[in-house]
Order: sequence, then structure tokens, then C-alpha cells
Amino acid sequence: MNTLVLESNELGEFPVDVYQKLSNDRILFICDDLTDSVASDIVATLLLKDAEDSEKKITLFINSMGGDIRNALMIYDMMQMIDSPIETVCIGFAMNEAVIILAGGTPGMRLATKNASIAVSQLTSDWFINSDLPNAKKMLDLSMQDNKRMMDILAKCTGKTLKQVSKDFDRKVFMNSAQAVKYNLIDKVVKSNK
Amino acid sequence: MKYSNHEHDHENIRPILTGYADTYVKLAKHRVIVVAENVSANMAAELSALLLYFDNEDHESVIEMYLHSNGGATSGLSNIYDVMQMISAPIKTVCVGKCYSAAAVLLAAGTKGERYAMKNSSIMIHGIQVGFPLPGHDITSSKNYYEFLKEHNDNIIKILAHHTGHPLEKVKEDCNQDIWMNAKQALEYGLIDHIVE
Repeated sequence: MNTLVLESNELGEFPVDVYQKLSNDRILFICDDLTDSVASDIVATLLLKDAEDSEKKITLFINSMGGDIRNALMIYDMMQMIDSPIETVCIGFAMNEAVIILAGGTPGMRLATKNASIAVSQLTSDWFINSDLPNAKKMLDLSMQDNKRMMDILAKCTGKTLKQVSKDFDRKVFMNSAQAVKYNLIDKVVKSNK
Repeated sequence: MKYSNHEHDHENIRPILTGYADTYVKLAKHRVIVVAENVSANMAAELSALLLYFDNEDHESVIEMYLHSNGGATSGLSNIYDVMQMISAPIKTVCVGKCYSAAAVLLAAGTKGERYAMKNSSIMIHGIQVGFPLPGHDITSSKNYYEFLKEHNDNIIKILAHHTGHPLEKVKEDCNQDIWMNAKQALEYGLIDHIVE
């Protein structure tokens, strides 16, 4: 779809990308699976915006079904590293790995729209390798480590214990935004201005 | 269109065998089985049916199994192995060409003193090979699946250790990677008893 809009100044009219224009106002979008390219784009933009001004907030809109856990952790770590406060807003859907980005926003600034859904479960594998058993063991250990990392982050963001979080998210849990506020994954539901 | 043809009725009484099927039927008369395919559930059913049939015919004389196989599924392997151990007729196994993975276990599982390999044949043993983890499943089921696979692997190691006479720990250590052997090395390892010169 065309995402170019016309911008005009004293030199004349010229096309600008909508996302580019929004990112000038420190508004970023994660509206895709967490692929390598999406994650690196977001991380680069976060760094740039933080370098420009580390006092003003950066807004992150999230509508993602998750993706690679490593990419989610990369974005999460960068969000914790930079000084600018980060407002996260869930629009539509945040699932599994994308939830740690949503919950990892600055405390008090984690929002969701009224009809947004949030789903959390333990890590699921979307790949497999053909190998011998010792290698399979290593793969299992790695996945369990990643799962523990994710649960650790969820526990930290919700203020619950690791044991509690692991128990709650043993099977897939679907929440609407009000339930997510209750679980402390987000802080408040965005109010309609109308 | 005719639904019955009296001229061709004799075909139903005496089936015409084509290709090599004739040879295998004649070999079966002498209690010889030629295993020249990958180990699978289907093949395991056929092979165990043959073994049970020959055993039922005669408990005393030797059944000969000629193996030339890449190996295959563990489910098929455990099926055949259990039948081989169950029947009372002695089983002579001969490796012709290649016996890899599951086929090597079948070779070693023959009656002690009746396990042969052709002079230029090659043999390979290893632990089970797996596709891991199952896509779309969560960590808990991956963990369960791993335990299940480990049990299968331990079972195969136990069988190999039993038939080669090596201690369990040694075989377990060896089977972490593929071991490729010629007939002479297989004899030294205890997988076979004789080399056919």
C-alpha cells in the first residue's frame, strides 16, 4: 500500500513516508512479526531518537503475533538501556514474545486500546533440526533458557514471582486489555476522547 | 462391458509372478529372507510375519536374513528385534553391501556365532537421529518428547551392548557419533562373528 504523503514547504511539494514522518515525532510501529529486519530497524531508531533527546518520551505502537525470542529480547534490552521514557501502546494484538516488549515499557506508561487482546504462553518452537540426541539435548536446554528469560522478564514487569508467572502461563492465556491491567502487564486502558 | 470373463479365470487360480518375485519365493522355500529396503513400520510388519511363519514351520533349522539396508525408523527396529528374540529358530544374519544404523542393530541381533558380513561390506552404528523439537509445540511437550527419545536411544544402546559384549558406558560414548566400519572392524567390535571370504 502507498504510505507516501505530500509534504510542502517553501521549496515546493515533496513525498514523505508516513512512518518516517511519525518517527520524526518519536512514534514507532511494531506491526509485524518480530523478524530480524523489524527488530534491527526498531533498535536503530530507538538509539537515534535517544541520542537526539533523552528527556522526551518515545511512543511504541505494538500489533504483533510475536516471532523470534532473540529479536524480542534485543528490543527489550535496548528499551531498558536508553534513557528516554518509553510509552508502549498495544493496538490490536500482542502475543507471546511481543508481550515482553509491551510490558517492558516505562512503568506507568504501558497502555492498551480498549479492544486490544493480549495472549501469553510459554515459548513454542517454530523450527526443528535433524540431529543426534546430544545435539537435541543442547537445543532443549537453549529453548528452556530462553523460556526462563521470557518468564523472568514477565515476572519483573508484573511484580509477580517467577513461579507464579510460570504457573499462570503454562498454557496459553488470552486477555483483554482490562484483564491485562488487572494482571499488571499494562498500567491503563487508553480512554476514548469521544 | 463384461464383468466376468471365463477365458481368464485360470489367472485367479495360478497367479503369474513377474520380475524377481519368483526368485524370492524360491529363496523363501529355503528359509532365506532378503532385506534390501529401509526399515519402516510397513517393512517391519512384513519381515516379522515372515519370521513368525518360518518359525512356525520349523523350530530347529536356521532362518537366513540377508541385509542390505540404510537403516530407518526405531519403531520398525524394535518391532523386528522383539520378534527375532521371541522365536526359537536360530537366525543367521549376513551383511551384504551395507548395514547402517538400524540395519546394523538387526545384524548384531542374529544368533550368536551365526552373524556374518561379506568381505567388502560396510557397517555403521550410531545413536538415534531425531528431528527436534516438534514445530509448534511448547517447551513442556518438547521436554517430554526428549525424554521419550532418550528412552528409545537407551534401549538401542542396551541392545548393542548386549550383543557386542561391550560395557554399556563404552557403547553409549561411542554412539554419540557415527562409527563407520568395514567387515574386519565390525568383527573386532563384536557386531559379527565371521567374515565371508
